[in-house]
Amino acid sequence: MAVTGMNFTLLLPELILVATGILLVLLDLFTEQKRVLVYAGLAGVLASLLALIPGFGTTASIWADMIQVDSLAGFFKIVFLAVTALALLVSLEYVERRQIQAGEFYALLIFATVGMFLMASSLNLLVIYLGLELVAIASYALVGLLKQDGRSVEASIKYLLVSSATSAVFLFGISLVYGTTGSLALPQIAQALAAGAASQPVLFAGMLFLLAGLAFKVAAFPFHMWAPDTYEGSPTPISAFLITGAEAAGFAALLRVFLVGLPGLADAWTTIFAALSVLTMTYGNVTAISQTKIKRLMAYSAIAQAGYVLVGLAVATGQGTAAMLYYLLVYAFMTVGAFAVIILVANSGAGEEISDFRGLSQRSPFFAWALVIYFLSLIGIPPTAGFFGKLNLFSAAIAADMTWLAVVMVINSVISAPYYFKVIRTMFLEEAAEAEPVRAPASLTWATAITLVVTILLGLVPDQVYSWVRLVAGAL
Amino acid sequence: MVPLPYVLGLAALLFSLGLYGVLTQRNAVRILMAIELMLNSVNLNLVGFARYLEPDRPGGQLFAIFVMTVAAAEVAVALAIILVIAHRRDDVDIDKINLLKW
Amino acid sequence: MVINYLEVGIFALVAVAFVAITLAIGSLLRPKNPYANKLAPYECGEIPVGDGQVRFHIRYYIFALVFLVFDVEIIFLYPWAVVLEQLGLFGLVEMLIFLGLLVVGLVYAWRKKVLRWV
Repeated sequence: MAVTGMNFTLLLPELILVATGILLVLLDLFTEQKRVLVYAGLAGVLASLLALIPGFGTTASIWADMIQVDSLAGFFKIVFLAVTALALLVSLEYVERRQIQAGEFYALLIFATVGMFLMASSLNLLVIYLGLELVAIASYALVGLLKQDGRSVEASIKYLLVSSATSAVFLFGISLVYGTTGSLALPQIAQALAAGAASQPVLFAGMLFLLAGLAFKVAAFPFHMWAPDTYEGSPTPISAFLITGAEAAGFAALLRVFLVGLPGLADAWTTIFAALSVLTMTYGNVTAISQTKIKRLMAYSAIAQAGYVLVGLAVATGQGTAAMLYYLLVYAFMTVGAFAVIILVANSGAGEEISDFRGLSQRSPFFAWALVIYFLSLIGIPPTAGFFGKLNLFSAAIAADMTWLAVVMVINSVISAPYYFKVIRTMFLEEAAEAEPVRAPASLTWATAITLVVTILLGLVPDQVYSWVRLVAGAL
Repeated sequence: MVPLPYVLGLAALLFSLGLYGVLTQRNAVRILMAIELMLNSVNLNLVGFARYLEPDRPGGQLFAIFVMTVAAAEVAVALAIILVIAHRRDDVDIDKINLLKW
Repeated sequence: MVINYLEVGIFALVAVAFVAITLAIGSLLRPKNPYANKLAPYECGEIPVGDGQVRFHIRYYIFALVFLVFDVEIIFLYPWAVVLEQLGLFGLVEMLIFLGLLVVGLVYAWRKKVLRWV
């Protein structure tokens, strides 16, 4: 009874990350030089990225069909590695200043990335669940690592209680789907559906449970209530990591489960996703307007952006998937970039209120202008990357005869403009309390520069990247 | 052999009970216990289905083992966080944990 | 099917009746001489000190947490042991890696002074 399809080459990216995580745990125990951990983590991420290359373009089911290697998995892994590398960069100063336990922080970050890998690269519900929990358990601890700050611990317990309850809901859905189709593998589930299982009411209930469980993970309305508290209370680099990485992983799982496993019920779930999408973007944007804290503003903005991405699932076409992937890629870079600026301001001794950004244009013009570009991209103003991301989603909706959804998207983009401009106005038109320039550490400058270049580049040459994600979406 | 509907009925009942507990209890530890109820109902479902669907293959039972271990890890982290909170304020009533709001 | 439950029912009745009857006979036959000391908790002959409900030291909880995780991971050893012969060397190495990861956890706990009683 040998395990079929043992393939270490194709599993190498995951194995390298796991090894890196364990190495970080051990390094932390035996060294006082905590910066070494960041460099080791970055080296591990880079090695994992290089290890992805041999698997590129191949489609294979390895390890007894538990792991699926294809270009969709490859795409998401690149996004996750980019987010993790940037999160490591922006954490460097933050962790030192707040005296967070560095070993736990970086090791958990890497382990969470492994979980995201599993979520994106499996067609088996068991592995998807394990990935989901790996991300979740690592992030409970990460969110609460600012132990001296009551808000951090509070965010952690709230996140934990809500998230583990929804994991149970997700699991109940899995058990019902397993019971009606007799399989945990998504392709077999799709076959059973095609063979007539689709009409069973129990299966429909199972689908609803799966949908609710995953909608929680991507913070879609009305399953969003944990998100603002969690993102506000957690250490800022972790907020960035969760908003971009964990959310992208949630969408990867949604894509796999619904497009591969449950296409037989597409009529039902496209309607639900369309409704969720409209509610989520509208709620996020309207609530963001009245925020006074920058991290809460970004949290509601993240909810709104999740609403835009859900449009891709509502249309359920190859074009929609491609648009989703493009948007998630763009979103990862512009959001981590914006958080890099937030961390810079917080590190400079000011707080995390929007008013703390007063006069940033004089104190640090580079970072102020960078934030302007990220925000323009988040609103979707040409020629930034975010504009093309929204344009793709927009045309996918039109092509699928859902013009009303496209119209709602445009209206929402207009609603979203004022709260981003409020921050920009504060930076440029209001006087700073203290005039001395903000000292920027090299790591933050690098992170901002990289995200800035990618955000601009994806806006200047969107076609090449889009044709690539089109190919990736075709592989699903 | 116990008929499948009995197993599923019990599981559904346990799940509802757990969900009710999650929604109504105010003490963090009690909420955790309610979540454990939900997870156990899932295990019942999985094992019950596995017995009837594929008695010679371990799919569902294997899943139940994984659910148990993951639940243990989750509870360990949860209790650790609750300990930190209890240290700080001597109380784990989630209504009183209210620093974060808009 | 139904007849099986009947047996269970009879058995339950006998069990209840047995306890009730023995208690009843005992209360009829035994001499009665109640006094306060009989109600005191028995602590191996020592005079009881303090309250019965003491607060446990917080350190116990940390030990319990560490124990919980290691204890539950052992569940994987059972199915593994059943099929070890078919899996051969590969299975052995796999499990050694798994246990090695647990040892890393133990080393972590040890170096972070979780195991030390202060």
